[in-house]
Formats: sequence, C-alpha cells, structure tokens
Amino acid sequence: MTSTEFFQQLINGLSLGAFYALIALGYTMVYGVLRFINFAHGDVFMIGAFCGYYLSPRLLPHFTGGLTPLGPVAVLILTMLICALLGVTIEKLAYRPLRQRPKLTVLITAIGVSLFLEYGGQFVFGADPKSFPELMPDRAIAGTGALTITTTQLAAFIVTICLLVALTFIVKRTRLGMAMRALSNNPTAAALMGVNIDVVISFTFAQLSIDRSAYGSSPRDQGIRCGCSRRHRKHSGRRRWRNYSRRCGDICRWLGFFNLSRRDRILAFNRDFAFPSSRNFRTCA
Amino acid sequence: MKYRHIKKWILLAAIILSGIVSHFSGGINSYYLQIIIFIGINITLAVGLNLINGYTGQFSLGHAGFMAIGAYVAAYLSTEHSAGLFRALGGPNFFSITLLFISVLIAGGLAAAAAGLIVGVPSLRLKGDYLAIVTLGFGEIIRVVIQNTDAVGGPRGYSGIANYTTLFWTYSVAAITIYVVVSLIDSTYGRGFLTVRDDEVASEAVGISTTRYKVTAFVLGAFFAGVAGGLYAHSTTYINPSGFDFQRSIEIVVMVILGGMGSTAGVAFAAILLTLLLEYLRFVSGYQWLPEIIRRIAANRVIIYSLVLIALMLLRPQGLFGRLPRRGIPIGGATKRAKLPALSA
Amino acid sequence: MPSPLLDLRQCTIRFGGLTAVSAFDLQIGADELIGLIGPNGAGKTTIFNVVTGVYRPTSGTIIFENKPIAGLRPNTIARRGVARTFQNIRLFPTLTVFDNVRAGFNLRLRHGLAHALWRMGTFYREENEVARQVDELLEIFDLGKFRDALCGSLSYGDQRRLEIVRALATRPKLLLLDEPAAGMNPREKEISDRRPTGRARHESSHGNLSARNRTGLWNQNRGGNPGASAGESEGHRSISGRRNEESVRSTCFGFS
Repeated sequence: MTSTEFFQQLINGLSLGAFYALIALGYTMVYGVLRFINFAHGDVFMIGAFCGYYLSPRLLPHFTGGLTPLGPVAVLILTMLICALLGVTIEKLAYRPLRQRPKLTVLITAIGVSLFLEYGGQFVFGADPKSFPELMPDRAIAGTGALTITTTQLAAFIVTICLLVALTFIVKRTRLGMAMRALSNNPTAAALMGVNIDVVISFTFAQLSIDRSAYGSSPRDQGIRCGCSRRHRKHSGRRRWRNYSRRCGDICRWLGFFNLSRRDRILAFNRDFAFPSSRNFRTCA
Repeated sequence: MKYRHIKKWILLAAIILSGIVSHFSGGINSYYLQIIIFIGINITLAVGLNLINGYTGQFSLGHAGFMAIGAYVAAYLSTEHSAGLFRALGGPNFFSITLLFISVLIAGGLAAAAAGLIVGVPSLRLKGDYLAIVTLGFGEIIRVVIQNTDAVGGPRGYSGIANYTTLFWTYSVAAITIYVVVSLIDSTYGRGFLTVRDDEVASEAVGISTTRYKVTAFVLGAFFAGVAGGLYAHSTTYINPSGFDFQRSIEIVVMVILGGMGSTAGVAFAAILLTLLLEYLRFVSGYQWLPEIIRRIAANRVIIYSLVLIALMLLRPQGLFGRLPRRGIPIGGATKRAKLPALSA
Repeated sequence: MPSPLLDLRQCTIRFGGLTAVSAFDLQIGADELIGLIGPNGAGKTTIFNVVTGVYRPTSGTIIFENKPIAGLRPNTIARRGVARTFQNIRLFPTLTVFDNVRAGFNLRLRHGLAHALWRMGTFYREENEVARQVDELLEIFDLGKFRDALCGSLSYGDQRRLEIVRALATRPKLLLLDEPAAGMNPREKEISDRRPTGRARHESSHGNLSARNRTGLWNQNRGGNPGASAGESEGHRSISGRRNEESVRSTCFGFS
C-alpha cells in the first residue's frame, strides 16, 4: 500500500466514520439519558433518508436562480422536522407509557417499534433500492494532489464536527444538559417518570452516493431524544408536582433547547431535581 | 400422595397419544401436517426460551442461533454419517432410522447446549438490555459462521436432509420439554430460578448460587432449542442460514411474551396461536375480496408481529395468560399444612 | 474464651478515596448476642456486607469457624453458615411467603436437577420434609396464616419477620440482622419483641441461645479512629434489656 492509498483510505474512513459518529451520538444520547436501548434509532434514520428522497424532487425546483444553494438546506430542515415529529410520536405512544415499567418491557417495545418502522417502511416505500437525488454538486476538491476529497465528504465531516461541538456544549454547559446528565447519573428506571423533555432534534443531511448509478440513498439523519425527568416522589403534593413538572417539561420542550435565554423556567425545573451527586451540580452550576 | 407421579403419567400419555395420532396421520393433508409439526417445534422453542427469559429473568434474543446449531449439527450428522450406521444395522429400517434420529437430535441438542454454556457465561456479568445485545450478537455470529462454512452449504443452504420428523417425534419432544420445565420449576431446587429472577443479591444471601442457575437455564433452554432445530431440519429437509436470523429469534420471543413470561401453559398456547395466526395470514393475503392494503399488510407478517409486541407491552405486559402475582404451587404432599403443637403466646 | 465463631481483624474497606470502615475488630462467639450501634454512615451495613461477601475488605482478615472467608462469594459464605437480613427488605416479590422461606432451604438440598426431573421417593421425602419445616418455622413466627399469600401483600413488620424466617431457614450459625426494628411502629416492635422467645424455642433443638449479650458502642466515624470495638466494650453500656429499641441498629446472633 502506497502512502497515497493509505491517506485516501484514511479520508474515506474519516468521512464515513463521521456519519457513524453522528448516528452513534444520537444513540448514546438516548441511552445515556433514558438508559434504554432505542432499537428504533436506525429506523428513524431510514425514515429520514426517505424523507429526503421524496422531498427533494418536490422542493428543489422551487429554488431557482440565486436561491439554488438554499434548496438542500430546506430539504434538510424539513426532514429534520419530520424526524423530530416522528421521534416525539414514538416516544409519546410507545415509550412514555412504559416509563415506570421494567427495562425489559421498554426494550421489547423498542424492538417492536423498530420492526414496525422497518417493515412498515418496506411496505410504504417498497423494498427495492432507490438512488438518491443529488442535493449538492459532488466533485473532487482541487489542490489535494493525488488524493481525492469530494465536497460531500468534506461537508459531512464539517457538519459532524460542528454538531459534535454543539452537542458537547449543550450537554456540558447548558441547564438542559445538566439536567440530562443528572438524570443519567441516576439510572434507576423506577425513578424515571412522567415528565420528560421530548426534545427531538433530527439532524438530517444528505450525502450523495459516489456512484450515482449505484443504489443506496445515503442521507444521514440523526434523531436525538433528550428525555428529562425527575425522581419519583412519594410524599404528598405529588400530583401538583407532576403537573408542574410536566408544564416545565413542555416549556423545556418548546423553548429550552432552542431558546436558551428562557433559562429561568428551566432553572425552576432543575431546582427540584434530585441530584445524585452534588459534585456534578457544582461543576455545571 | 396419590397423585405424586401424575406428571410422569401425563408425560407418558402425551408421548403415547402423539404416537397413535402420528400413526394415523397418513390421511392428513401434508400442508396441515407440516403446520401441526411447526406448532410442536414452536412449542418446544418457546417453552425452552421461557425457562431463560420468563423464569430465570435473563433476556436472550439469540434463540434462533441455538436452533441453528441444533439444526445444522443434526442435519449434517444424519446426512453425512448415516451410512456407517445403516450398514451396521442392515440398511435403513425402522430400528436404525429411529436410533439415528434420536442420536442426531441429541447431538444437535448437546451442541446447542455447549453454545448455551458459552453464552451463559457473559450472562453472569451482564443484565437486562446488555445481555439482550450480547445474545443478539451471538445469534448473528452463529448465522454468519454457518453462512461461511462450506461443508454445510454456506449461504446456499443445506439440502437433501432426510424427512424423518413425524408428528410423534415433534410432540414427544414438546411434551418432554414441558415436563422438564414444569417439574423443574415445581421443586425446591427449581424455585431457585425464580429467586434469581426476583432478587439476585437476596438469592446469594440465602446461599443460592446465581451463577449456577443462570448457566443451567441457558444450557437447558439451548438444548431444547437445538433439538427443535434438529426436528425442523428433518421436517423441511432444507435449511439455510437466513432462516435462523434475528426475525426468527423475535418470533420466539413474541411467543414467550404473548403467553406471559413465566407461564408454561400460556407460552405453549401462544406458540400454537401465533403459528396458526401467521399461517392464516397467508390465506388472508390471498382473499381477493379484501382491500388491497389489508392483503398486503397480511402478507407482511413482521408488521403484525411488531404491532402485537407494542400493543401487548402497552396494554398487558404480563402477556395474555401471565399472572403477574404468582401463586405458589405446593408440591406433592405439601399441600397439607403440617400439624404442630399449639404454641403458647 | 475459646476461638470465636466470627473473628474480624483489622478490617478496612475503602471505596475509592472514602474509608467506610477502618481497622475494625469484632469477635463473636457461639451463643452470643451482639448489638452493633452507631450513627448513620458509621459503617454498620458495610460490616455486614463485608462479612457476607458482598464487598471484599480492602485489608484485614475475616475468620469464620477458623477459616478465612474474605473474598468468597456470598452464596458460599451463606453455605458456611452466615445468614443475614437487609436494611431495606429484600424478599422475592413474585413468590409466596411459603416459597420465600423455602428458598432458604435451597442450600442444604440433597436433590438437584436430576432428582427434580426423575421425581422418585427421595425427592418427595425431601420435599415433604422441607415443607414441614417451612410450615413449622412460619407457625413459630406467626406467619402461617399468610402461607400462600404473596410476600408483597404483607405488612412491613411481617415482611421484616419473614426475612428473618428466611434467614433462619438456612440454619445459620451466625445471624446478622440489619436494622431489624427500623421503620416498625411500636405495635410491630412489640410483636417482634416476642421473636427471640419463639426463635429460642425453635433453636433449642440445636443449641441454647444464652443470654450473654453484648452491645458494642461504636462511635467510629468515617475514616476516623477504630473506636471501641464491640468486643472491648462489653459492659461498657449494657442495653440488652432494650434490645429492640432503635438504639440497637444492627444485631448479630451467634448460635452454637
């Protein structure tokens, strides 16, 4: 293997790995916070890909002239919203009613949801492979010598890095992230209940297949669900608290993640948070 | 005291009955016969998995892997190594075939049990969803290994297996499986499986070795899955690795959950119900008078599976027949309370 | 004094940087009743966890019947004759009261997998014997009426008692009760006051539970000095008459 080949493979690997990292990131967010394996994660990803597939021929023609670069962005944003909606729906219908049940119940449900999406997808979209439309001109970047770096690869890498940084910031620095970490430190499933912040962000971005004739639409999406909950309390006033915390959850859901200036509401939520370790509280407070 | 051996008699009766029915099964439509045999195999699989998932509280998602091992070992032995046995016993007659079939089934079961031992070891350290992932991965490993083993046909599958499986064999094995699980759980020794499920720390504190119980559950469950695999191979006469994939494991898990984890009768009933339902869906997908969409959904059985799973978990997590609060079943003569001298307070 | 039943020498347990128990000495002889008291966080439960094998001591030795047991698995230690209850009750929630106690007989079963399947005379004889003894134990502790009830349906005090019955079912040589009176209301305490009588009666066939009671005043704070070990503080403050008061947080019974 020559050194050129080595570096070429390194670049290919890095760009592909960047995609995987994003998927894994969503996975680990759910696992880290809710402590259960979201089997349906990959299927949300699949739905995202198909959203991109069906949306782009309908949306892209509307962006002409100077607006052309915005077309793919619109597709991505719409796809993200759809996946987010899907994530919230799954959570509401399938996972939330099971919050207090044993872990295995949730796991089995997750498998069920995953199978349903997978085969439902086959049912709706058909089982035959589809080639993904071109969202972004895919060409080699000049000036890299013998190495080939395509724009898609570069874009994927940059987006991944940006998202990783953003997520790290959210988890480490914001109140919401603090709440999430506090929650994951306290893994007893029984303690999780009722309220959660269904912040589902789906970052969807499309990658054009290198060989357009090849099958395999490979848009990448990522669904992140951040559930946020509080410890189950046994004393009186439970219902009141539950309503209150649910309201806080709603606020967090709609404002918290996107508008961090509304921290005071989230702060109120966090104040009653049972912190398993005070050390964590201090580091992020 | 009178009914002390009733379980054994029922077992014997079941075996004899399946022998009689099997003897007169020549008249049954071969398609129906096949379904009846599949039901028996599914009962064996589900009841075996119930010992692991329901009674011992472990979570295995790789039961199809054990089944695959049993199927391939049994099929390979009976196809490639039967010549010597037949020569020694004067050709393939009733006696030699019976001997061959029993031994290949047991060999398949033992091979699967050995695999169960290997999977049982991580179960000592892992719990819940971690264990589920490990067993899932294990099932896939087995499938991939078989796919890459040329001696058994690799991805092309293994064909030319003799059709030895009869109604008698299938239901005898199912009856034995049910007997083993029921009589095991209904003993002071077997209650250890339940205590391990309920509280491992407390089990250890009263001297119950959780290690031993977990491994035993895995080994026994895998053994029966292996035997069921052998029956399956000798029933369809053709097996291929993709028939033992994740979906197959899920099928068995659905049976266990549908029946109610930890209820042998419920699980066996669910196995019957689900097998019949899925076969019936084939007909439904052929009914021309039904709307196209219903026929297409019926043709895609996994959609039905997944919906059953989700609905069940949401509405009735203990399964159709499971009783969440378990009543103790007194053993043998223990139903009578011991007479004790009155105690002065 | 002859060699003690349980002998903890210089037992130290550290969790990371935290020293939960530091150089703890404890001797329990046969026929002894020892109370272990101390404030919250003193390490009473940790000591129990070390003796029963849940934790391994960082340093020090644990001798039970002249054999070291440090580092053995909890079920092996239970087999050697150490039984315990838990501070927060740990029964088997899906099993009945009868089955909970029966679980305690598991370790001295002569039958195993093969017998349970073959089901011949020996199996039934043993099962009947187990059932008889379970019933006897339940009657002694006044739990017979709940025999076929799920243990979760029992009252708190009954659950505590059931846990003690389960521990006794293993025929321990040493019984460790972790906060046996915690969370009980006065009436329940009064009932459990009768407990030693019942148990003594039950144990009389195996040996006498003598009244040589000691209470260790254990003031050891985390990472602090070893304090007075139970053995040394004999007579320091005798509260044997108030055994069930909350001041006695944990109790060890040594049977001969």
